[in-house]
Amino acid sequence: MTRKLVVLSLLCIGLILPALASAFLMLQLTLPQMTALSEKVFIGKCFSIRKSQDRDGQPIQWVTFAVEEMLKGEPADQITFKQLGDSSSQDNVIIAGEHVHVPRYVEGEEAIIFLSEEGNNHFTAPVGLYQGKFQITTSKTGEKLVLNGMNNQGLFVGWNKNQKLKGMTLSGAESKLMRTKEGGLPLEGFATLVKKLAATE
Amino acid sequence: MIKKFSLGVLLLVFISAELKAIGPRSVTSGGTAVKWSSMPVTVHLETDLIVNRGTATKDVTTLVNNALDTWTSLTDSDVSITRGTLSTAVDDSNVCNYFYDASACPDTSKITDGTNPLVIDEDGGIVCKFFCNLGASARYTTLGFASIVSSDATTGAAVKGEAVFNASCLNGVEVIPDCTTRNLSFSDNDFTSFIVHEMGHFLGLDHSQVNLTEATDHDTSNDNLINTMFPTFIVGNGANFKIPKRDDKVGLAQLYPKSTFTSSTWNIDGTVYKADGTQLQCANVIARNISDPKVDAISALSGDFSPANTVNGTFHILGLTAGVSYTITVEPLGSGLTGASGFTPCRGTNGESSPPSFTSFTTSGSFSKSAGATLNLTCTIGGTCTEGPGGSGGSSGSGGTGGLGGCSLLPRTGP
Repeated sequence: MTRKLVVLSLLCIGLILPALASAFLMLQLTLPQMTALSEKVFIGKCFSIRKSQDRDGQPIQWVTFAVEEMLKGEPADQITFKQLGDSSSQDNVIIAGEHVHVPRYVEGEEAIIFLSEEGNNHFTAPVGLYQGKFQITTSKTGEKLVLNGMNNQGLFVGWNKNQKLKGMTLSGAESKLMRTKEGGLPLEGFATLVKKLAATE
Repeated sequence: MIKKFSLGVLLLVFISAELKAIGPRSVTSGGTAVKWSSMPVTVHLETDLIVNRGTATKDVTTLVNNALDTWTSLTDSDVSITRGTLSTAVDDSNVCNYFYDASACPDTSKITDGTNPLVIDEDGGIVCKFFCNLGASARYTTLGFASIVSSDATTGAAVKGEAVFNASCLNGVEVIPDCTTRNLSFSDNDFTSFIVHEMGHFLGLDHSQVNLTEATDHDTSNDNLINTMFPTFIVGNGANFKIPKRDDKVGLAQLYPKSTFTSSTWNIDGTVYKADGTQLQCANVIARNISDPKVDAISALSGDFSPANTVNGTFHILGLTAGVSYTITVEPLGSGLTGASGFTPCRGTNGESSPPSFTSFTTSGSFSKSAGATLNLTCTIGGTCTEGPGGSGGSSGSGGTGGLGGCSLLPRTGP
């Protein structure tokens, strides 16, 4: 009781600050790891974002995608998942005392989502957060490209030593992907490669 | 009523902390780094340092000790650590007996319980307790976390620190098949490197970026150039990652300098400006030894001792070797390195802006000073970089731009 009073007193007069400064070390994921860690991987178009709050006041969003193609997981016409955060503002999710930058969504956007299996309280998110959401854009030449929140860096680190990739028969387009260090990747080759990776599991 | 009041006070303190929390990993409102005020720091290890998986076991005591010794053995900094004990094994069922976290372990009495717990997470259960609101895969993608969880508001003196090291995919005792089938298993060196990285945060260090290209390219042969406090980790790079690089060492010396550190080295006080003449916060400035530019490289973020979203482009680079010439590179932070994997005060969250985008550049000229001297430098995005008034000590410029003020710009390929 006395200790609690002391703590409360110190907090009240602002002598001790609980910090919002924790930091975590995140695994930089390769595409094989990202695929393996995902419960579902799909190409889709976001058509609904419903907002709410959890018991602690954290923003929640139910994000629904119309599925254009499943790359991993059971076939589905649409997928809805519950993720922390409010896509209208990135300044709102606190995990382990730290404001965490979670993926954001826009109705109408086309993306590839590497979706994690549900965790605490049925929450989920793209695997590796910004690493597991790939926006689909169209280049000036009309080619569809995919790009994640890390500019696609590191997706193919050590690809020439990866047993899964070494054992696959890859198309020319897929092989070319693996020599790309960063920047947009062609959707077509990327999608077929993910499907091949998923099929090895 | 009292509970509501205390929650209100806590909220106010949190808001207050946000306005102030920048810096190495955080600073006080007066711009003082949050760090341990006296040495040695006593850490409290859980008693179970043997990871068990079925019939397999691995004693990680040596790995933990090696990691702790890594920071205490550096020559420019004065850090010492005393090993205490929590007198119990810790897992997700009792972690809140020792840890404070506003969400996962909200008992505020832990803030001043006198422990600084260090815990091995055998199966990712503790990590999951804190992070699996981001999906179940966070159990394996979060390799560890640490912080100074409370500090004196005025002096920045740390009150409590805590750290968790995720051993769920440690070779030989990894979770099967989750780790093995997903290529997530990591070596003893990898695990040691997580501990070294997290203990850097425990001591107050922020993330840093000096060789972004090498950290994100496909070439494993140059991964020895990735600094220990880089925010992401590539499985298999532990043997390199666990060894603090020049930037990591100077970062620690900035917080805990040996008495001879400042007088035996020179430093740069500078400011980064946008083309419109306003100061630019969150530009990464790197001094590179012209003879060894990837190894002897020391970085600083502009405005890292100032509140987020301020117009403050000042930076301070310490620990430069006397008589050695350095070029200056000004570059953006890596895309995607935001939030808890980002750099204070540029994390794109919590009122902090995302790292600015601009074309990086490196000076064609170089700069050198004698021990104890300060170089004042002014850099402008898309413009020039010159030595400003007020530089002291014996300065020399070299490399084609001829002279002290010479600092012309050389466009580089962006990171």
